[in-house]
Formats: sequence, C-alpha cells, structure tokens
Amino acid sequence: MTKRTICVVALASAALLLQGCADVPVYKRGNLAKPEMGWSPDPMEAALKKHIYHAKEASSGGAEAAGGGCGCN
Amino acid sequence: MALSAAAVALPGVSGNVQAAMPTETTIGYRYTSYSESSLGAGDVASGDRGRYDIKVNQWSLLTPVGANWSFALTLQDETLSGASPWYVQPKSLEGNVNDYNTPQVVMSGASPGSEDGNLIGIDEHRTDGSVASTYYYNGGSISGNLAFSTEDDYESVSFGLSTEREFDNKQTVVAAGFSYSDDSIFYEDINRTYRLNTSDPLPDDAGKTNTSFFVSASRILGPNSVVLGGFSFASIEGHLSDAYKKFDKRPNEKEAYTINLSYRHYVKSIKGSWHFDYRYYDDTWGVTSNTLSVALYKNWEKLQIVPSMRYYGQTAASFYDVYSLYRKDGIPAAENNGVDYAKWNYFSDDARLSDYAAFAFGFKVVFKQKPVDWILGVEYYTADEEFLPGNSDYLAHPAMLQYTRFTFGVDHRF
Repeated sequence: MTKRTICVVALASAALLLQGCADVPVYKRGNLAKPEMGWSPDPMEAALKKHIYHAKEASSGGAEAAGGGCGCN
Repeated sequence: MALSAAAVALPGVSGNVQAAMPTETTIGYRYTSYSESSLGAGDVASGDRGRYDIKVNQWSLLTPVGANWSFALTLQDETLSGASPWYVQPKSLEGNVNDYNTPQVVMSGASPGSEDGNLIGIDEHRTDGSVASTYYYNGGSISGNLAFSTEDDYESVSFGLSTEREFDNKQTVVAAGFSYSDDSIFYEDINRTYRLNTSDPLPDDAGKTNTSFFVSASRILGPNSVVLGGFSFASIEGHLSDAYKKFDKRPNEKEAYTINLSYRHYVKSIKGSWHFDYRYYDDTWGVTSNTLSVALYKNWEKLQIVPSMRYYGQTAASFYDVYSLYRKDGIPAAENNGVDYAKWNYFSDDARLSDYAAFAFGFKVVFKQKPVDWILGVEYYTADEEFLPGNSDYLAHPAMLQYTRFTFGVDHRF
C-alpha cells in the first residue's frame, strides 16, 4: 500500500466510525471504565516492551501518540 | 551504547496519559530476564555465537496529590552482557573464493571471563528514571515530565509536555504533546571496547537530539467499545551511526512519522476485553513498517489471563546492504569475480535496518489478591526475512533475532 492509500483508509475509517457513534449515557459506561479497557492497562509492561522493541527494530514511536482516555469518568 | 537505543526512546511524553485522576496510590515492581538465542554455527565467521543476556529491574510509583494533582516516579536498572554482530562478510571457500550467497557475521567477542574472554564483548549497566506530574481540571489535564538515562558510554536527558481535553459529554478526548531529548555518546574505555566503528568513528562531542510531537483523539463508540487514532512526528539529528559496528555510516538526520489506530471492545460473556492496535511507520531512511497487536484480557474472579500476539514487518533502509564492508570504498566487478559493489556515501549491515518481519507471542497471568496483584509473564519473539509476504531483494541476514522473555511483578494499591 502506498502512503497516500494508508492515510486515506485511516482517515476514512475514522470518519465512518465517528459518524456511526451514538451518545452513550454516563450510566452505561461502566464496562468502558474497567481497568482492562485502558489503552495501556499495565504501564510498566508497556514501557518494557517499548524499550525492547525499540532496541531491536528500526521503527519506534507511535505509542506516545496513544494519549487520550475513554472519557468514562 | 548497546542499550542506548532505549535512551533515544525515553518517554519524554508518557504513553500512559490518563483521562482521570488516580484515586489510589500504586507501587509497582517488575523483574525481567531474557536471553537472545545463540546464532547457528554456519552463520558465524568468527567470535562468540552467544548473544545478549539481559536483566531488568523496574520500580514505579503513581499517587494522587491533593485534589487536582498526581505524581509519578519510575526507575529502571538494566544489565546486559554478551556478544553482538560487528560486521558481515561472505563465507570464505577454498582458493581465496567467496561465497557471496552465504553471508556470515563476525561477532564482537564474548563477555569478560568467558572462554573467549580475550575477545572482549559487551558488559553494560544502564539506569534511567523519570518524574512526571499531572494537573487535572474540569474537562482536561496538563502533564509534564523529566527523564534521564545513564550508562557506561551514553547519557540522555529529556523532557515532555502534553495536554488533553474532553468534549461532547466526555465521549471524545483530544490529546497533544511534545518531547525533546539531548543525548551524549562517548567511548567509556577505548581499551575495553576495541571493536569499534572504523568507518564513522565517534567525534569527541558526539551526540544527538530527538524532537517529537503527537496528536491523538479517542471516541466512545458504544457501551462496550472505544477507538483511538493518532499521528506522531519525530526529527532526530546528530551522530546516528552505530559506534560498535565496523562498517556503518548513516545520515546525520532522520525524520519519522507514525499513524496509529487502537480499538478496545468489552465482551460481557467472557468478562474480558479485546485489544487491537495498529501502527504504520515511515522514515526518511526508507524504512516503512506495519505493526499489528492483538490481546485478550480475560477475567475470572481473582485471576486475569492475557494471551497476546504481535506482528511487525519492515522494509530495509535505503543504505542497507548485508555486505556494507564493500560499500565503504566500492569494488568493481572486474576485481571481484564479476560481482559489482558500487561505493555508497552511507552504508550499514545492521540486521535492524534489513527487511524482515517478526512475531511475538505472549502470555501473562495476574493473580489479584487485594490490595496486591502478582504478575507472571512470558514472551517469545522471533524475527526472520521469510516472515515477510512476497519475495525479498536481499540476502537473508545471518543475525536475525530470537529470544524468550520472563517477567515477574507485583503491584500494591492503597
């Protein structure tokens, strides 16, 4: 896939997903608030893996961009 | 230096930005040990076939402070010993003839004290730490952190700032951040580490900087699912050649960007959640990669199991050649049995810059005995050019990596 194709697919997917979103009342967000639903449920393991993969592969980054919570609380 | 790749990756901006302020203090510890598999006899021209043995201790603290602040502290201590690839050459046959289809690696040697102790290898110790603080306000947060890393021949300091803001009744969260690191590289003991880079040796003031930005947005899709998309950009400048690879000369700057997508889905029937993560990476050295990770977090009452799988595939850097020793000065075909190697300005035979793919299979068990969680984890990692779809234009590198990692840990919340 070319870079342009990947960008277009990513943006189109994001737009479709967001368009399909329905309002979720706060009282229905219990499952979203569970620890295992976090972007990084085990920060120490995530830091270790990031460290190892970065030392052994040419690519890095991206995980930093995984900010943003689920807005559950 | 062998550990320095980690320093480049210092988390100037934490990857664990939390939307909500922590309500309890968590103290964590992890011990990890792993050994890289020895190379096959046919893949090594000389030196020790054994590779790195690595042990890591991690400590962390996260605690709320007052009504609107949190404080986080991390420390990591890592030791590494063993041999590493120094350069690659074709297999020598009788009659001063080279078998160019069979590359073999010359290793750096072995750890001091081993049977090959006269060929001194790597024996390093790295310590890094970070402090971070976050201020929470109604609808968002602002975070900052400072980090350092020090080892025998490498020092790094970094800082980062990030912020996030909630929208649409907290269903959408937008985050952005910036980080900067400044690293110094030097030979700790020229007598100890004599297998150095002769193509691009370290200048007296060798160093590099890394400036990066990211932006991301997450959105609740329904009562059981949430999605996140992000973009990051990094600019790296300085001495980027490997100081311990003989024929390695790289451009002194690199720009890289990533696009990442993550999805979490809770399945009530199994009391667990699926994690899907994808990252696309592209840089100005010609490396592109795709990373896909899948994990299942499944809960029983006091037990959680986490099977996981990760695929990583990358293209080679534009200046990669398994025989970089010939790219330094070039060898015309007439002088080399009809095999032509043009001279390149930049060259490297680092396996990490070749085209290959890797699979990682993980399994973790968490025993939850409030207020303490006990954690056991194992991961098997294997890399090979043959894992890439399609045919490759390159010879397979003889030093592809395999390892098995074991981790033990404990978290205490109060």
